[in-house]
Amino acid sequence: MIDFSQIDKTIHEKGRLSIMTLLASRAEPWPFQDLKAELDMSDGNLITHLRTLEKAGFIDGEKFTGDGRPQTLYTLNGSGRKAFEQYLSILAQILDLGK
Amino acid sequence: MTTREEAAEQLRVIRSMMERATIFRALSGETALVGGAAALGAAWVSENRTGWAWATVWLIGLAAALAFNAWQLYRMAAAKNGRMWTSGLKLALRGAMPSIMAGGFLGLVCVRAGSTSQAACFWILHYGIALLAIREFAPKSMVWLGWAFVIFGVLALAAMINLLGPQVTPVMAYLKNGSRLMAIAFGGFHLIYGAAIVTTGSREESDA
Repeated sequence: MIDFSQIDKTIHEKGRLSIMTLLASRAEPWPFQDLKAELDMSDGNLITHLRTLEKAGFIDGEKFTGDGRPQTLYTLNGSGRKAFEQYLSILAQILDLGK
Repeated sequence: MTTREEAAEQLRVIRSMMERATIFRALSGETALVGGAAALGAAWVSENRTGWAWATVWLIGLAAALAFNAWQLYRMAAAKNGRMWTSGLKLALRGAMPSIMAGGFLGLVCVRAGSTSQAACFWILHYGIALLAIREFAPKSMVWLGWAFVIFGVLALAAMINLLGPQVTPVMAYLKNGSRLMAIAFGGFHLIYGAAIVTTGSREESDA
């Protein structure tokens, strides 16, 4: 029996799910501008979602101020990856139930 | 929306994001059309040339196609407000370069030895292998393009060294010219690929 309360509401929102998926797709960190370009979100919307995920402890953001313009790089951390895999597993169970 | 439908919708979002992050079209439809047209032009100019004069025409054609592709990648990156030097581009270059370098070198060795048709076979074959080397993150159409180059390159090379028997002799008598082989592969295949991409709008194609 699936416990639907296990679904992580932080990840379940489409914008945040998209961010988590992009971060999970590559080992390298994602610059803010690349995430924005892929997700087609406004700066404010993306920052809000990123802060929510950071607050939940799923992602890490690191600011770099090299010789170019400053940028923030985002990565999925260990607990974020675990939560994402758990979320996927619950989705798979729900789909299996309907068969 | 039922829970199951919602789960399916969430999985669709995940799949689409994964594909966006991992599928990289190194060769746009427009570049393929320009490259194909440049190849036909180079074939026409080089038809009666031999040796380095023949190779120079093709290297100029290659430089023109690469410059156009770089401009296309820059334009697409600027439109998305992103960077041109993406990890997708780096991965594509890392995967394709060994085959491109080996094929380029073997082709130039053949040109030096006086066989432009064998040079054409090696360039066609290795270009196909380079496309297949990045198949894991290339759209399906690029994989088909890679196979077309590999199969044509192998058949042309086999026919050239008389492995296919006497039946193909009349065909090879016509094709036994590096320019014509290059025109079919780099011209014809690219034009078909480019036209398919541009007309079907399959830029978003991702079921590689």
